[in-house]
Amino acid sequence: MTRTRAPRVAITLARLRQERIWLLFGIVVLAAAMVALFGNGDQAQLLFSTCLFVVLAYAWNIISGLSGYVSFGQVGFFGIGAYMAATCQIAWQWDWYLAALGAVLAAIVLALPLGTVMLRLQGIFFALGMFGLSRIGALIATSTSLVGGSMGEPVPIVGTTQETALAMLGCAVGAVVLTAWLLRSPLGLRLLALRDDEKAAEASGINTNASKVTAFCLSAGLAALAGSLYVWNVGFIDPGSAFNNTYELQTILMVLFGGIGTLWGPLLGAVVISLISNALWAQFPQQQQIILGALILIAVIWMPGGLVSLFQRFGWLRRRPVWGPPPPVEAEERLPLFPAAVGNVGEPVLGCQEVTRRFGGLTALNRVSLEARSGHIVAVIGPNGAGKTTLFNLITGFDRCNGGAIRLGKMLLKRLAPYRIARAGIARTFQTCRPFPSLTAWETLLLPALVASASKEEAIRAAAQMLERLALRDQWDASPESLPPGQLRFLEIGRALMLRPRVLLLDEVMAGMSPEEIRLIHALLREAVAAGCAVIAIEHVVPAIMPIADHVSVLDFGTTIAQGRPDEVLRNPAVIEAYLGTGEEEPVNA
Amino acid sequence: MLQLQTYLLLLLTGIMWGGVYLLMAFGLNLIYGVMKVVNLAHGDFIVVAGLLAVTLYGAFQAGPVLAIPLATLLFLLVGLAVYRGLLAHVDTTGSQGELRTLLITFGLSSIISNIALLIWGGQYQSVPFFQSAVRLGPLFLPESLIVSSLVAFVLAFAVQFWLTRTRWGRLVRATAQSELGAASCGLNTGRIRLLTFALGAAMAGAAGALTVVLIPVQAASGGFVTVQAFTLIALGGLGNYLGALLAAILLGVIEVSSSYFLGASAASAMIYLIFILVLIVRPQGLLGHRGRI
Amino acid sequence: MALFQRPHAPRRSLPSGHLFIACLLLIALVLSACASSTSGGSSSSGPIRIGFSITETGPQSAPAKFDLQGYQLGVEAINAQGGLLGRKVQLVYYDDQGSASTAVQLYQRLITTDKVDLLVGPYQTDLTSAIAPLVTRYKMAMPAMAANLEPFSGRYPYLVQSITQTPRYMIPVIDLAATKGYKTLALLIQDTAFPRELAQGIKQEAASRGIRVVFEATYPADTNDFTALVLKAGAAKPDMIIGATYLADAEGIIRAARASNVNAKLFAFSIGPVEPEFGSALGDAANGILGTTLWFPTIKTSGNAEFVQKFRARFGRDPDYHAAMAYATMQALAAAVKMAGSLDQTKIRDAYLKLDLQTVAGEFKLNSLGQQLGYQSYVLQWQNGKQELVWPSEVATSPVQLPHPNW
Repeated sequence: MTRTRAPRVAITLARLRQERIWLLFGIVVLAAAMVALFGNGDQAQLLFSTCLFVVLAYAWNIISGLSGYVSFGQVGFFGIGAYMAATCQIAWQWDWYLAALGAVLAAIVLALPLGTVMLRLQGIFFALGMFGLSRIGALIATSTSLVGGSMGEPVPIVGTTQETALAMLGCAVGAVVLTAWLLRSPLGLRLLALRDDEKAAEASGINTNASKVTAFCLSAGLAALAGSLYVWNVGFIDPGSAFNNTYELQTILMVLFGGIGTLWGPLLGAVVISLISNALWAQFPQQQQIILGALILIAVIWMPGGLVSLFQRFGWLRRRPVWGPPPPVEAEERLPLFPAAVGNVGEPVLGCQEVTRRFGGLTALNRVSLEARSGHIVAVIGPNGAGKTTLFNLITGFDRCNGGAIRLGKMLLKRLAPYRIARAGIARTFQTCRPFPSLTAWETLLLPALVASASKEEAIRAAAQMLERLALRDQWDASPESLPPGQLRFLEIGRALMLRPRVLLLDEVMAGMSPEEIRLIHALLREAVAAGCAVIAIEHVVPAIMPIADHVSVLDFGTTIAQGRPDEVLRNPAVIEAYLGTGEEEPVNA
Repeated sequence: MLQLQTYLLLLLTGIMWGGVYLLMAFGLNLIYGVMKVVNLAHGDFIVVAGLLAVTLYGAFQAGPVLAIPLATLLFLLVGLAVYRGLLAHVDTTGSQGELRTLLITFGLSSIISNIALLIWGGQYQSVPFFQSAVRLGPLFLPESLIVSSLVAFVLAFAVQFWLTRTRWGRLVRATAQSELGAASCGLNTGRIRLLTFALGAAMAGAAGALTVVLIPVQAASGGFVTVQAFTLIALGGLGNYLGALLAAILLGVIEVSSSYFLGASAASAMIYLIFILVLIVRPQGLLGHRGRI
Repeated sequence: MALFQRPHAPRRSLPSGHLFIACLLLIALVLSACASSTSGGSSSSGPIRIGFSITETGPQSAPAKFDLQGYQLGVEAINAQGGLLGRKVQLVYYDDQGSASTAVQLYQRLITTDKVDLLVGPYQTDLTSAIAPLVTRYKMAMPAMAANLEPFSGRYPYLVQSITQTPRYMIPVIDLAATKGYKTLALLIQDTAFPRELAQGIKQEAASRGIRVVFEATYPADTNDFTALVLKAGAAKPDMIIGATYLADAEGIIRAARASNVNAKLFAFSIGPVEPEFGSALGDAANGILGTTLWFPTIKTSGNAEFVQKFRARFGRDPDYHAAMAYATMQALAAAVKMAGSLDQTKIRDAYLKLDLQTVAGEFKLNSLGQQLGYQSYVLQWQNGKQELVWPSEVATSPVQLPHPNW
């Protein structure tokens, strides 16, 4: 017994030492709990409102920080939570925790359809749409007579300040832990990826909509929890304080002050701003708001990454890569890189039949047909504006055809979401690299690996193996932005390969590469082809692709002007003309 | 017949309220269009200009004729100072650039409105000008509305003219379309942004000094004005001038007519509802262009 | 494969010394926060401390400052008469910035940290409603200047009302209208707590005086355009247009009525005309408009002239009705404590309920729920750019000018 326990304790201790920040956090929480238990009511109340903002800050951070969808209306869910809890307590006399549970569930149930619709909006439009929704919520609360309407209504079940402060502290700790868990979970990885580049995330097989909506619901649930406890603390509900805009603004300010999208930023921001504003209120009541405003200006100009960024300069409070470092891969555990892609060589996998795409009056693709066979490499060449990338966009579902059909095996790809196409076995790279700056190289590979693998262990093993294969093992925790262009390109190819695709679409991967690097890519492609993968490569650098291509298709002005074996095609006069030109201007709309 | 008269009156009033809203949103639209910055202190500029007009009236019985040029000039300077002192120091690029500018202008808004509160107190204030009715056949139209909306529409066309027909206007439009492109053609885009921000602020000043005859203002009501103005320009397609005009008229007519037919509470909800619907159906706004991927 | 390998900087680890210091600092911070502001506490020999929060800053601070000065003058008057129970009286107050949650926090502090002996209410009904459960939990008797009846509906037995109750605000206007023989009424109501309850009172009184409500509509607080509303009200051809309003919307309604040429024999508003800004914002258009006030410098309540004069001397400006109500609250508090003979909160509450006291604001008299029955309201009218008290006629400073001429 003791024998098995002792190492476990040792491991826990070792981990704790590794994660000193959590130790610190535990001490702070303990101190706060002491304040709640032994401090006076006034301090408990201050603790309550600070923790309230901590929870709101984390709620906002999940949707706006981690997923990148900045919302100006998350306070609406605070209001919904407050109203739901109030209704439970007034109408059914529920206990506060049941009411809180009801509030959270109600908010999540409501957030599901709302998020699905609203998250189609981007940027400032989403932010404002959410603002509008929260205003509508306030108007509904004002005009219904259910819970007091515009006059407000007292709530019968009111906790003591001690109780509410402790409960709120618990929720704040819960919010921190939830965010920490998120940042180490596949969902967190997906959120960070879609925050950085939604299209690239889709291309990595990620159902971005599902991830966004999940984050939205989590955020709504947290905000509603805060709302329900607020009601329990104050014992009164009215539209003005439940749907309070200043809460929204204060929350946003706190998160930005602390550091948006980070684990500790919202906590730091909420605590520091709460304490400062409380101190200012005591000392300079008239000037409090002015000083706070000035603080914002100073913070934004001098500290654009928030408080956390100051610590990060010293290597503190950095996000730790998910499930890192990559485990060493023993020879006997090696997985084949392309197990799913194995098939009969020469069997047609992907077929485009007479695909047409028009943009307004411009026909980008006109009845283009292309076939990719298992174990073969098809090169698509052509001058700028020939429609090569448009073809890839059509195949991978980022764009829709006006005519024609694209099939993977027997499956028609029409109307399929990009992530579904990616999961079905078509992986792609982008013409200009689209890395995820928030993720490390390791996580960039792990992300699609988790989509393609049956288990977490398998995904980790596959990603570690790919990292080794790409010679990126020593840079496993490097941000893609710090990688040189060549390695970045490899990482992008690796990301596509992690999906174990049946068809691999490469968009000008060899552009600007050294002969050394091109040789490496050739080796990688041969490996993929040998495993039965079908490759379609768009290439501008014709000599780089010809040695390994089995088939060449030449596009010009959206039509196929030639196709066949490489040596035949290169002798075709139409191709020569398209490349060398007839003296006319080349179209420039790529 | 009487019904018809009422409907006509509602329509006209709605259009004129649209003009007033347009006036209040104009500076914001210009700044967003060129700089992609949402100036959250916009409403506070308007409110302070309005309060200034109240003070001028209280001290010298001076009307909008004096208050408008003064407020315009003052806020031109404020705009210059804010850009030089604050916005020029902020990195507005990158994924968090937008948030940063929001935060800066939010801080500014907090500072301005609270200083205004210390100076003018929290009471709603207004000035008695343009109060009589103008008789148009059987219809009575409020003079204040007519004046404000006329100014708004004239300003709208003047700005449109300036943007399309003058050298500076073209430079501004070039910067709006592609800052990088404009910079690479040798334009001093920093100076154009400065000019734009100052002009936008000046427009807010003019709007505030005029609309205070119509809408009582209070030191803290700037935030609400900003939101209203932003709703309008988002509806029209951010930074789109014709779109804003259309959206303003639409909003005015919907507000006035739905408050007649459905009740005033419904009117308020209607506007947000339409706003969200437009966002969902046409996220680029009524006349905006869908951004290229 | 080793093509891309570069010298790799070792990751910086957390310097544990720094962390330890940071840790200590944080704990010190928390403890110091804990230790600070633990002053206060009552003793039986020192002054009697009266606690409250007031909106000293923020948009609602102007009327609240009158409340504060009324309280201050009231306490000075008590001390001038030898204090209470042989002890001096002292105010302990904080700024709530008009926020309900701040007010809750502050009353918590007043009760548990400062341990004040007596409480009086903040400015505004909203804040009173928010702190009512707290005050009730600690069983502190509290006179509150909350006009709405909702906090005094029996749920909070320790709250008593020390301002004219909302439904009675406009009774004298209806009384005036009835004597003039006006028969129909259009009612415009802002969709917030106070105007809604006010409208209930108007409708009840109108019904009992045989006046018909021919039009009634509510509008949200942020309404800018009143044209549609006024047109609809005008279409009903009422004798009177009455608004349950605050200042900005009262101005908006008058502007819209004038511009759209909508006429009535009487225009009256609850809050709006009582503010001096009403006259400066509307100019001539303000003339003839009726408003209500809860107090006026010239009314003949007990000690009123003396109060006005002392207020002027102390603060260098004229008191308004908020100041008078706050002063009267202190008068009632002194009387109740004297009657109770101790600081026992239940006894004090019972004393409040039994009081029948002539204050500067009128007769302080409650029903068993603590609702104010004694305080009245008065009608004022803007005449030649000045506010004049016009009704009830026995206190009028100038005869009422009705009907309102066409615009």
